[in-house]
Amino acid sequence: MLIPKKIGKLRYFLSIIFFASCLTLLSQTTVTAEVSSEEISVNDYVNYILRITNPPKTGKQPKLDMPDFEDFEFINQQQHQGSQVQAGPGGTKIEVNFTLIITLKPKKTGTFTIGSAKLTFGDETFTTPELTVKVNKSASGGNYPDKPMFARMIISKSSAYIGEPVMATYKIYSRFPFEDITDYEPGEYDGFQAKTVYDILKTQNAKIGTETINGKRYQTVEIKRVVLFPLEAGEMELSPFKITGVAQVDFFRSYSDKLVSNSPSILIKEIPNKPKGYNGAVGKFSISAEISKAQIEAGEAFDLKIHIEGKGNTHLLEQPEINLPPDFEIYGDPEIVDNTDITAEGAKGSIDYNFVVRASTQGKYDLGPFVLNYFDPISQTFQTAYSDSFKIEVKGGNIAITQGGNTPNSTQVKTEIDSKEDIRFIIKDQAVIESSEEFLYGKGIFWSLLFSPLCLSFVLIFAIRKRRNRSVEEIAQKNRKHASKMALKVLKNARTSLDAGDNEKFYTDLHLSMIAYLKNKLNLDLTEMNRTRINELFVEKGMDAELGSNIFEILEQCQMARYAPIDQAGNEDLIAKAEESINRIQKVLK
Amino acid sequence: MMKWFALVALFLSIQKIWAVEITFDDANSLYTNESYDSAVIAYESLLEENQYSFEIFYNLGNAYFKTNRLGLAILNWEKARKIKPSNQLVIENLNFAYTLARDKFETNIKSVGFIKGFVYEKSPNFWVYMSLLFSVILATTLFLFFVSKNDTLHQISFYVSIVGFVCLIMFVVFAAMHKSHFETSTEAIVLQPRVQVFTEPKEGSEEAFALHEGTKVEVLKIDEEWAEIVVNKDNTGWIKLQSIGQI
Repeated sequence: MLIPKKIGKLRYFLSIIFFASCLTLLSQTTVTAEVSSEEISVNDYVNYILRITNPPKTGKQPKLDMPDFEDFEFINQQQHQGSQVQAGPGGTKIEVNFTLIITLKPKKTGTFTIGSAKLTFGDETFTTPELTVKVNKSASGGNYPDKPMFARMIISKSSAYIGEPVMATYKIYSRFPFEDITDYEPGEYDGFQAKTVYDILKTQNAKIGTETINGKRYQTVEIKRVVLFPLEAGEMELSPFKITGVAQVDFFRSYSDKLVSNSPSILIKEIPNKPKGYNGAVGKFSISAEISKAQIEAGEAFDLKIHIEGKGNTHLLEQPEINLPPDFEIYGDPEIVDNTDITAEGAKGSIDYNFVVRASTQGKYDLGPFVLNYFDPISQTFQTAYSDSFKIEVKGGNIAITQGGNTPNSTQVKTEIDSKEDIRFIIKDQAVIESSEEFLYGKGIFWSLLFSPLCLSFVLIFAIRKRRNRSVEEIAQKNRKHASKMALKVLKNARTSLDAGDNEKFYTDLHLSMIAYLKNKLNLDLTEMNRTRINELFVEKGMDAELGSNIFEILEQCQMARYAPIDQAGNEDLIAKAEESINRIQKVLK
Repeated sequence: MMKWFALVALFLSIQKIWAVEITFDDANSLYTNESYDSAVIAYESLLEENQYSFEIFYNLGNAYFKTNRLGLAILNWEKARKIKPSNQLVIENLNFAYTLARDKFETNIKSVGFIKGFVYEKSPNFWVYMSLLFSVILATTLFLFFVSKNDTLHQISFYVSIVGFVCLIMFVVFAAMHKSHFETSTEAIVLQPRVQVFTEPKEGSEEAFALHEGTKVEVLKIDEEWAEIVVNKDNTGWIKLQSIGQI
């Protein structure tokens, strides 16, 4: 058999490995091969699984030599790739896996060897060990009872992961043609979700066939076909079904028996290493998305449709996690459109989730890609399907208010501004317009203007007070100035009196004029008018002591003459002496 | 609507060319005729001419609100409230507008105290002029007190100068309060629909949180085109300066 012809897509597979190896810097390369089961019956299928981990970077297209599967019939081929990032104590590790699965059917019984596969990356060659598969005659052979009529429950797999569909077929066998079946009691399916795909009671076309078991021909009737989706892990035993079959042996005889089927058990395995955001999908899926508008107004809603297609436990999927930019809100629960059919492979078809999304803030946003993680039970790895991503533009729209600030529901997405609660009307009176002047406070001009009146006031107060003090002084000076004039004037009077022969008046005038002169000139009180004080002052002002005694002589003579008259000639001398004294004092004290 | 708006815009630009002053009444009648976009332009042009008035800021806030620009509406109302902090109209509008902002922080606005309201309502240099006036009064009375020989005048000037001194100190304090009320403004309003707040003042740094139009923030620091802000007392971060309007 020419395998390469059938495995046509291998070139594509190798190209992907080649590209991946160019892009990544990876460590340990491993190539392994295994078969899904080393012992099968001749009617069964076997999977040949080739795993390549971390292909090395060679820059050359790798070469793959597959073994000859000459004892097997090629059924189909699948390939998977995946990557895993592991953060461990030795740093982050990236692992890239490629899996090639070839499904084979044995042609005959016996023990067969599958040769080694050879994978060449440039200079490096990886060879997988040879594998042996034992093909038994007919696995079921020994299990069937040797009775003319019996019931069997046949399961498609003896082990499955949670969520991986298992088909159970209820069949009855009879050596004689069936005439009737009654008292049918189906079993229970604890730990499974059961979806019936065929039920003899609900169909017109009963599936009737013939089978040869251990060389004997049997008529078979399928009672029921049910697809079971395991819900919990463990060794699950299916409860048997019961039925009474009636068969016609010949024209006169019939045979009837109460049949109880076997109760097969299924090992249900937990899905290992569930990634984050895993929604329980088991099978093979793809995801796509659609948005109703690429441009919306802020506050407006749009539809986001997530379409998941595939086979597996499609109908059991939890709503996928939708990552939206902030300020995008999903209203309520999505509308779900289930387009799945239950088949032997599980639920096949698509599920649409229609979300109503509201964007409230303007801007340009990227939506998606939306992601679905699913577990592939064949390769026993997690796979990730991605949708396209979208750009959406939110334009500035109305200021929409959500009533009461609560989460709005989808029927009332936005409410316009409530007319009762509006802003207050504008002010229409003439505006008090002021030019937007600068604040003067704190500026130099402010402080100087603030303190200048006070300073001015203090300066003025000081000036006036000083002026007042000075005016007292001025009077004294004025007196001094006038002193000689006045004295001379009085002396003149005295002279007139002397000429007139009025001696008394002459002495009085002379005495008065001298006293007044001294008083004004020296700024003295009358009490200070004594000889010692006047002498002191004279010395102080730098005048002869003689001058002082002269003046006192005059004063004494005047006093004496008032009581004892003196001769006229002395009077002439006296007045001349007085005039001379005044003139001398005047010279010193201006 | 758009046609009407274009016509009014043209009219306004012609007015500008002809140097005809747009009056407050013109702007008000645009608002009353529901041509809010034009009213916005008219009020803004009044402000551009260095006119500073509570009424203009208040009405401009209304016009922005009617054109669905919440951030600018709040900003102008807040500016109006700076001028008249105890005006009931602007307080009501602001409290209403803050309920429409997406970020719901504690923003219940109340009227300020009597003294503050009294002090802040005056024109920028009112208290400056008052203090200068009382400086003159105090100077005069002090002069009279120290110089006058008349006993009655002496006594009167003594008491008047004591009163004048107290008033002077008070008005200087008022002037200082008034200035700091306006000039040390640390508050700002978010003007863009959605603004990222970063942990560092540079593009592409980690986003701390996001704010939405109309949110009031407190500005702590300004560094070139970035401002460090705090909201809700303890959420701090850096925001682009252009995305906020300082009150």
